[in-house]
Amino acid sequence: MIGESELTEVMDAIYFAPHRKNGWRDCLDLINHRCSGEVTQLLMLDKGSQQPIACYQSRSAGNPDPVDGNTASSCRVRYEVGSVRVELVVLRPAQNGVWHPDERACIETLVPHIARAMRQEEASRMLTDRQAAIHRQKQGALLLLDGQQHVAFMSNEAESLLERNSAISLEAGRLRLVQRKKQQELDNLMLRCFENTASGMVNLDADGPDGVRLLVSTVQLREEKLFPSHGLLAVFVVGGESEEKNGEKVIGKWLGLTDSESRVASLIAQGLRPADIAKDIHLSVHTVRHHIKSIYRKTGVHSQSQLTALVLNLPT
Amino acid sequence: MFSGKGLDALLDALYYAPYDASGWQEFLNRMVALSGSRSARILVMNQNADQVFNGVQVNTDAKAHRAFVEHFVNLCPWRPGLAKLPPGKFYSSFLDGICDQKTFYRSEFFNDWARELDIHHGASGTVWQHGGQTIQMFMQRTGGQGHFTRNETDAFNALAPHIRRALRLEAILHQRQQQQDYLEQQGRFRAMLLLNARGEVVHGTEAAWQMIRAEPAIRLNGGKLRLQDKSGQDTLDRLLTASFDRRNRYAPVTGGVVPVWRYDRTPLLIQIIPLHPDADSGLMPVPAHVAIYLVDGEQDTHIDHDKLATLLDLTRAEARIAAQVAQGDKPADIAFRSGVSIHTVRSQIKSIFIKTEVSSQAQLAKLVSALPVQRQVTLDRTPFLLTSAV
Repeated sequence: MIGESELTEVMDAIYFAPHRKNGWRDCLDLINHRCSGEVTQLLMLDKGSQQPIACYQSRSAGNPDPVDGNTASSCRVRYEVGSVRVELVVLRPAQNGVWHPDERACIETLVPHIARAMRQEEASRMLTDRQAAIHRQKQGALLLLDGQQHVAFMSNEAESLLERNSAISLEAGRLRLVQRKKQQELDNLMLRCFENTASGMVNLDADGPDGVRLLVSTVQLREEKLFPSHGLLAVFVVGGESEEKNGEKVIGKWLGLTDSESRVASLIAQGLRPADIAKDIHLSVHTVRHHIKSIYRKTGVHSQSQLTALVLNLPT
Repeated sequence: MFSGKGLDALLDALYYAPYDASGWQEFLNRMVALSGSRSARILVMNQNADQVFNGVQVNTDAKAHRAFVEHFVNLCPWRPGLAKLPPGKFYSSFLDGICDQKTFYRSEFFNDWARELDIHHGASGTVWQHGGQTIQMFMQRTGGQGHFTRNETDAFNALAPHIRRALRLEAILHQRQQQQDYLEQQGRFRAMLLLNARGEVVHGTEAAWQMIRAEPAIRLNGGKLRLQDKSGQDTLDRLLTASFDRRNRYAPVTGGVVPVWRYDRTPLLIQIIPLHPDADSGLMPVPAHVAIYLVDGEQDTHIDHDKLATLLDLTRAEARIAAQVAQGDKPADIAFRSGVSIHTVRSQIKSIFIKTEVSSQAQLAKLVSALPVQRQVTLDRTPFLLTSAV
């Protein structure tokens, strides 16, 4: 069932799972696939209180209902270490055959490694949290590229901008421009930024409807003697219609404002004065001022500039 | 040689090595103890394995290690043999013909260096070659310990994939750490705290610690955030409890804002954001960890001219003018304030336009506002008791 190279693949998936998005789910998918299973579950329990600590499940292979015990055979492996118990369950539909003792033994050898990787996840938890916290902040459309020019980080804004823009796309983890000449220009610029601390810009028809500029700047120089992926570049994507229109909902949810209050708050954050806002949304200035007062009361800010700062800094 | 509890502990040490500063040392210690060797080393070298960047060693003193790295690394008779054999495996110096024992005893390496340390046999291998980097690992035995047998060498080889994997983890973690540090400095407001599932502060940026030190209404007590204001504390507790409650039906909780009232100043805002772990929340409710951002409304936003100059490749004077234009100042005002003629300002604006490939002041403003050049500055405040004295 599992040969040398497959085993390496599975073990890689196990140990790298804590560092990948949906890493555990992908890992269980792989195990499930290798075992011709229906579904695979992974559970980590506290031994004393029997409380679950973490639980993951592979993506279902099309059948959303859990398979009942009559038509499927399961392989269940338990492993205890320290104060936790790890359980791996692979369910296999009847038509894919019964479990061979060798297959069970193979699953059994995997579980101690899974337990080790799960405990490591605790160790890398802080880094994961820091990363998640940063992702919630407004960064502008920012990408970080490693020495192989693979995208190592992409802010939410950058993600949505790339989705809407037809001139730039991601291909095999790298930035790809539709115009070949511009791609050449970008590649040269990135090379320059890896070799010396530098910055530069690639202009993609900035005045057109889809126009953006890519601003590339060195974060860390590439050190050839280390890794090829060593080195870091920041790429800011500037321009395009990046103003999101769904901001009001976010504002309301965060600050506990009513719909009309959040509309006023978002307009103030865009730099409009109360009189302009009144004209914009067909209300009297007095109503707008009333809204502003209750916004101040609810959020604790005392001026329009503070409100602007607050609204602009809300997480997406 | 490697089995049962000993192997488990060795693998634990190996896979924890990337997370811990002295992790690789710990792994080598265990390796030496388990394999009955005298000493061991891991060397990080360049592509041709003739220049050493980094290394850890066990049981060779610092002087001997330095002498080895500076001189004998090129003379080590095990290494040329190693270069001819396929990488990624360990070889016994005695069995695999890396260098036969007679030749070894005649070598300059043995007579000048290894004899003193009583090193007679070795097992060594190129564990990892990744781009420009070669990582070799050596285990060495003294005379009385005998050579490394076939079984022992096979046991090392069974370990090799794990060592490679741990080295890749090390590389991944290093890269992540660096990205993270950069991003945290880029964030628009850098005062950030992280709370674990027990509500204890586990990480804070420098800006956050500064704010807490300067603000008497916020304290840290037993690792937890304490507010002087009772109702503020209640709101904070409620928001945190909601985030941590694993039975909460309304998860994911979205967090909220707690104002910290300050005398004669606008309130400091505490933003609470739950971070949901990458677990399957459909299977079981997962308690969130929490990120807290401190927002000081009285902080002024300045544009960092140096950063702007670096990013857009402008001179310092041009960057100053670009920042002023971006903030809506007219050329005449800029000229008046900095005491130069309007023609100078206009020509500088023109050269900014050329360098940044924009054609209007509005476009320039848009460009500048998209860059992470805003910096929060706390305004100077004269202490209350000194206002009359000034």
